[in-house]
Amino acid sequence: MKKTKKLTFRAILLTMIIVLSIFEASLPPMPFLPPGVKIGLANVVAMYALFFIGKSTAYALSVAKSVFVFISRGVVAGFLSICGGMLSITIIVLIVIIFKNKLSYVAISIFGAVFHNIGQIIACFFILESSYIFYYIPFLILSGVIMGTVTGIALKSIMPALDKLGLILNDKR
Amino acid sequence: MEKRKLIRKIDFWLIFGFVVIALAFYSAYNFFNRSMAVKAELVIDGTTVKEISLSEDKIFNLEQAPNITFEVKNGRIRFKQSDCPDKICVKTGFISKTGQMAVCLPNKASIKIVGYKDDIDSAAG
Repeated sequence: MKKTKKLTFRAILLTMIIVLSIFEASLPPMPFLPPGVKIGLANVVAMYALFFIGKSTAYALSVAKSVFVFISRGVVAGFLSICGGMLSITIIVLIVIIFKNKLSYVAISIFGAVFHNIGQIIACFFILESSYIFYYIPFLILSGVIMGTVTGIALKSIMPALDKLGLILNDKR
Repeated sequence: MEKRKLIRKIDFWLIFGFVVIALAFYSAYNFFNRSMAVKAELVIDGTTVKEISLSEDKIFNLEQAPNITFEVKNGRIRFKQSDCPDKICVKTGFISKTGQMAVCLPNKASIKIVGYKDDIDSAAG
């Protein structure tokens, strides 16, 4: 039974990630944002998984999300998604190992968002084989900083709710 | 349970640091890009006859369109002279930005500025 609950909790988290990314993709493009820049709401759930369940779950959720992107939006989007996700989680894992509890949620979230974007632009570089895309780096760093702050605050605010869900499902964390 | 603060004072330095890195990338890109030549495509009767770099000043003709004189100057290009009656192409003047065009309909000639392939439009997940 316990295994089932564990599975269920992770399945619910994955569902949240997918729903949030669909929701985000359906938002109209913001006039003041460069094209392609998104809030990254789904990262909130991924970060929760990373902090409170474990690295392997976070990686698994990220891969599962990329598979979903691959199925729904094609090879290129799936490739970008997995590159961004992997680099982002890896960087967060590394800085948490180095700095332990000294880092705030916002700081970790900013690192995650910025490196998510950088992972994607590296992927873009391999697809397009054009160095002109590096023109985008400053904008992606800035948007990573802004969106990272937003998702960091969002993570802290929805944590109690997610914790409750975890408790209901009696998940051992 | 993790004990972590939502935000710390040092985070503002982190944000500041990232902004500085972004600005550094931006200025480095602009610095290197200035030396990267933009090209112009000369299209006569539907086919691209020549691609020319705008980094060197010159005045020239094309054998496919002997009645037109082109001029490249200071990274810009224009129809200097043309035998067409309306002279719309000449009046267009110099063009230099990616995507800009100058057209001479009577001679079926056009100049198009081409920069780089700007086809990053697939949605990233």
